[in-house]
Parts: sequence; structure tokens; C-alpha cells
Amino acid sequence: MTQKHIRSIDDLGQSGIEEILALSDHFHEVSTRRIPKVPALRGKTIALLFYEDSTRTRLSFETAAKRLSADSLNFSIGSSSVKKGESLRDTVETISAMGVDAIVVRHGSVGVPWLLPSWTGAAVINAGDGSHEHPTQALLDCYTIRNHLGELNGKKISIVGDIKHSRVARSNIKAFLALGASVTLVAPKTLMPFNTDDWGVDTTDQFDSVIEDSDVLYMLRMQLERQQSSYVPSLREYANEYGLSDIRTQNMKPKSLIMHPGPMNRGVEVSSNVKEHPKSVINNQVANGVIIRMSALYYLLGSGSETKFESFDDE
Amino acid sequence: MSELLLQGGRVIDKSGDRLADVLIGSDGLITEIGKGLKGGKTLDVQGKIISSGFVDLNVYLGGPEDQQSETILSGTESAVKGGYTAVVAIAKDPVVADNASSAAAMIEISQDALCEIIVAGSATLHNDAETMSPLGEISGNGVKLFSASGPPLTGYQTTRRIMEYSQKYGITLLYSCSNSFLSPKGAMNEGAVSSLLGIPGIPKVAEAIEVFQLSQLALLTGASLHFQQISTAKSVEIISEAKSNGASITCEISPHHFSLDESLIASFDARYKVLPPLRTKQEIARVKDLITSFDAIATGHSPCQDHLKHQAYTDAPFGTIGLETALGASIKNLDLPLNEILRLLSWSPAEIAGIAETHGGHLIPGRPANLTVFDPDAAWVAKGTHMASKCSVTAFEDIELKGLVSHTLVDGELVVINGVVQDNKGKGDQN
Repeated sequence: MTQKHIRSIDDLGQSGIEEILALSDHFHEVSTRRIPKVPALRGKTIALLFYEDSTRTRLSFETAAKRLSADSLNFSIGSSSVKKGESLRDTVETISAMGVDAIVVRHGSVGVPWLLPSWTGAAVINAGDGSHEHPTQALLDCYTIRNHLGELNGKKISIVGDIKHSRVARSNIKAFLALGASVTLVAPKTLMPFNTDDWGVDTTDQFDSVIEDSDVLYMLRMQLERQQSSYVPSLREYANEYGLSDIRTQNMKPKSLIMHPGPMNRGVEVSSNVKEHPKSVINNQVANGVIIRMSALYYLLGSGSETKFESFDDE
Repeated sequence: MSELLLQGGRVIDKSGDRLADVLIGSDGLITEIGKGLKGGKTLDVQGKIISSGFVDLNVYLGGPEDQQSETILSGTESAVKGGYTAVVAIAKDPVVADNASSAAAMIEISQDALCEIIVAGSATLHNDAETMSPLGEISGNGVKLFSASGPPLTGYQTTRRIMEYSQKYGITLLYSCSNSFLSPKGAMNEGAVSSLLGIPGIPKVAEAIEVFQLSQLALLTGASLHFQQISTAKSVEIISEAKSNGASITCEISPHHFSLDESLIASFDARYKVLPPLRTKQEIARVKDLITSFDAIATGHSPCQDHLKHQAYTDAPFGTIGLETALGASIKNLDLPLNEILRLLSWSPAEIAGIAETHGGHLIPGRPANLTVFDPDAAWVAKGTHMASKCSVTAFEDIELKGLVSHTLVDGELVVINGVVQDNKGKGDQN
């Protein structure tokens, strides 16, 4: 059998996404236990290879691994030979030689997760590659939406902000479409990908035109340095045109959601108290992150079959 | 060197195409061309083409400052294996002949080569496009080609002055139109694929804009220009128009730009990272429709240490090796008669390089025997590890090609026999 990976939502397709969401219901139950830990991946070793700082995602994976009783190895850029100029290939081969079952990798350059399988037999999870993909973020977003709106099929989801540089957007678009939602991308043309003809999405630079119709407003983080490169004239103007202000939240339809992958720039893409808005599920996204990553690890390293759920029992 | 008879081949040169034997004297000159020749050591080349040797206008061979990417020896082994009898060593960081002594040093080490090397100078100090280098002093070494990187972001004053000043010395300026002014971080063609992959794109128009500006300056000044690695149809149209208005301009295309399209980059393999970037299938078709407007096929051979190409796509350097795949890619992917392909590989670039007396041209008695013998129908699959270049990362890896060099003669000497480089120059430790 060829090794499974989660490098892109494309590696999963609709059935893979559904399988992970189904697993997540079980792991959600586990997370409510007094001791939220199961021996499902006992004896497995998971390496976390983070070339970019990301405390949130790394902690989320690390927690997920611990709750599955897997061992985790941490390779962060500041504390390893990476800093001493060791090549990506040598680092991966070294980690692989230590005997790991999965490598969770985050890298500032696109495509790194695709290079790894030629150097290691371990399963690869993409925890973010440049502006390309961040599939576990998309999975936790799908799980969050499904939990609040029942299903994604037929829902209208608007992704707002710096689509061009967003790996979250690229993975989410694929996942949302795979589950039957329709997607509208909202951004000034400078922050919209050059060509989205084949993406199966609508695009607009008029935020106000989508607010009333959207079941989900998915706000992306605005990189503060974008104004220096003239993508937008100023963050103030961006906030006026594309920020989710209190007035805009009033125009949202009933039973709609506000989401954000974090970390937020309060006062830029969202007004200062949007996270606490009744429609906001931003805190749920974070909580679901651990559950989804447990599912992703189990999907790759576990038996992969729901008949083996006895192994989820307490030790 | 003893007399050598190439027997039974089909001779193709600038004057045409005929079945003939070629007799080469012990002085390395062609003695006679005709049917039923006798004498010397006989080499049966039945079913093969005997062409005037190939000339590559765009090759990086390393140099005194860089022995790790390639050496004069490994680079010219690669060249002769690909059928080249002469290559132009372009100025590229860190090997930049921007003064008379650095040019002389490069010419000096070029004596170790297996084929002729024409050293190109740099038209600006440090190849930075800002300050003109001493063109007169450098050309005193016989250097007539100068790499002139694109216009500096500060403006065209220096560019114009180089174009004007260079004419006294009969210099041809080599321009690569891949300025990053529209795409500082660009790493592939801008379009649907770059959008999907999240890789910063380089728009097609960036090349066309630069070609247009430089063409207009060529018309204004009367300078002689050669455009390197043209990759878009729009650029070709602009060049053709400037030519028809009297500009002294030539241009080249690289085999990867008419053979490989951007969809390969979805593998994230940096072997496909080249500059100008691989374009779309549609753009390649448009460029191929205009292929007869080109003056040369040049490889842009850009070796680097292998491990640099094994980095993440956006971190790896641009460039691919190309000397050993040019013929095979050209026959396989260009829908052109052989004599037209050989015009682009041999006699037209020989004229641009200013070596038409000894390379390319008409194969007639008295000329040095710079010849390439190849099987135009041989199908083979490219493998970087089989190549003579020090660099084993090629954009053509595992790609099927058609047309394979069996013998290369440089000044009458067989430097490649049955595809194997004959290292008579005392090949040292390559590593």
C-alpha cells in the first residue's frame, strides 16, 4: 500500500474529508473525558518540523499527538541544526533515520511537503507551505461550520482579505467546494490571485455586496507589511473597505457565522470586539484544531477503520 | 592526427543537403567532400547526418571564481557530447569579465577546453547595469560579445551610452530580458498555475516590455543587440518589427522554452525553475508558430551544485543545464526540417558569435573540420546522472528526446566517439 499523506486537500478529496470529520466526532467525545487521552497511536513517533514560527499550530499538533499517546519530536528552527545551515534534505533524512512514522512540516516555501517523500518513508502532514496550502486548518474550519450549521452543502461562504498570499484560503476553497458549499472570494484586485478562472468560485472586490447573503464570513489575516508594498494604500483604507465592522455584522443574516484562522489584527480585518460577537465561532475553531489534528494523525497512522474504535478507550 | 574519412553520411550545411563522404587531413582541415572518397582511417557514418558543428551562444562554464558549478573541462565535455564545437561563455555572477585582465584570465583557462570557447565580457562593472566597463580595453583581447544585463531600475542613460559607445569596437550586446521590476519575488510564469500553487508569478509582459524598450534604443542608437532566451510570442513580434525597421537585432530561444510547460512545476521540483520561466502550452504553441523568426537555439546552460537544486522550489536558484539535450529536444519538439534546425543550432549562431570563418557556414575544403555527426532518428530518454556536466539536475529528466550525437570533431580531432567523450586533454580529478 502506498503511504498516505495530507499535503493538500487534494490528497483527501471529499471522502477523505468526510472520514476525518467522522473521526473527529469520536475524538470530540474523547476530549470531554476526565482524562482526554487514548492509546490509539501508542508506539508511534511524530516529528514536528517547523521552519516558521507557529506556536499555535505546533502546540495543537503536539497536544493531539500526546492525546493519542504518540511520541513527538520537536525540530524548531531556533533550536536545531537547521539554524546551522543544514539542508532541508539532510534534516529530513536525519529525522527519518531516527525512525519516525509521520512528519508534520511547516515551511515558508511552497511545495516542501511534496519533496519529503523522496527522502523519507514517513507520512507527511502539511502544516502550512508558503502561500500554498494549510489543509488541517481547512479541516477544522469545515468541522466548525458543520457543527454550527449542520452541513456545508448549499451554504454560501465568503472568504475575505488577502487571498493571494493565503494558504488558508487555498485549502479552504478546495475543502468547502468538495463538501458542496459555494465560495465567493472578496479582495481588492491587488490581493486577489491573478487567475481564478478554473477555481469554481465567484470573485468580487465589493465586500458589502456579499454580507447579507453569506452563511459564513471567513475573514483572513491582513499582513501588516502589505501596505508598504502598495497592495493597499493604507491599513485604515483597507479596514474601511474590507474590515468586518460592527455595522457590517448587523447586516449579516440570522444563523450565520464569523470565522478567522488567527492570529487576528483587531481593528484591521475585524473590528476590535468581533471575536466576542454572538456569531463568532473563532474560539471554537481553536478548540477544534486539536480534535482535527488527532483525526488527521489517526487517519494516517491508525488502523484507518472505524471498527477499531475500541482502542479509543481509556488506558 | 591521422587522416580521417567519414563515409556514407548525409552532409548538411548552410549550402544544403547531400549524400557525401568527408575526408579530413592530418592538419585538421577538410580535404575533400564528395562521393566515393578513399583514404585515411575510415569511420562508417551510414544513416547519420554530418553537420557543421553546433554553436551555443549562451553557456555558463564557471571560471576562476567558480569551479564548483562547472569547470572549463566538464562544461566543454558536456558541450562536445551535445555536438557543440564552440560555445560562448557568458558573464554571470561571480564570473564576470568586466576588465581586461579578468577577460584575459578567462581566455587563458579556456585553453583547457575540448571545444572552442568564445569569452563574453560584461558591459558593466560587476554586471550591475549601472557603470560601463572598459569596453575598448576588454575588446583588445578579441572579445566582441558583451553580456549587458537589463536596464537598471534607475533608468536608461547607461544602457543608451553603452549602446552608443560599443559600436566603435564592433561589439554585439547580449541582453537577457528577465528584469524583475514587475515581479521582485517571481519564481514562475504568472497565470492559473502560479495562482493555484501560491508561487509569485512573473508576467509575460515583463519580457515584452523590456524587449520593446531595448529594441527602440537599438533603433535610436544603431547598436547591435542579441536577445537571449526569448520566451513569449509578443517579444518575437516586437523583435521582428524592429528588425524590419532596420535594427541590428538577433534573438535566441532555449530548448526548454519550446519543450516544457509550466504545469511541470506542480511537482514543486526546482529542476523546472528557470528564468525566463516555463510558459503555458498555449504560449509555447504561439512561439513555435514563430520559430523561423529566431536566429539561434541557445541552451542557457546554467549548471549549479546539485544540492542547491534539491531545495524548496522558491529557495532554489534559477537555471538548468542544457548542452546535452538541445539537439534531441529540438528534433523532438520542433516541427521543422533538419536544415532549419541546424541553421538555428549551427551556422546562424556561428555568424552571431563572429566565428563563421571556422564554425558553421559552408563545409568546403580548407576549412577546419568542426563537425557533428548524429542520428536524427535515435529516441532516447534524458538522465541527468548520465551527463558530462558537473551538474546532474536537468529540466529534461526522464523526458524522451529524438536525435543523438555520436561523433564530434573539433579542428579535425574526434573528441566524441560513439557518444563517449575522448578526454585527451588529461582530465583531472573532476571533484
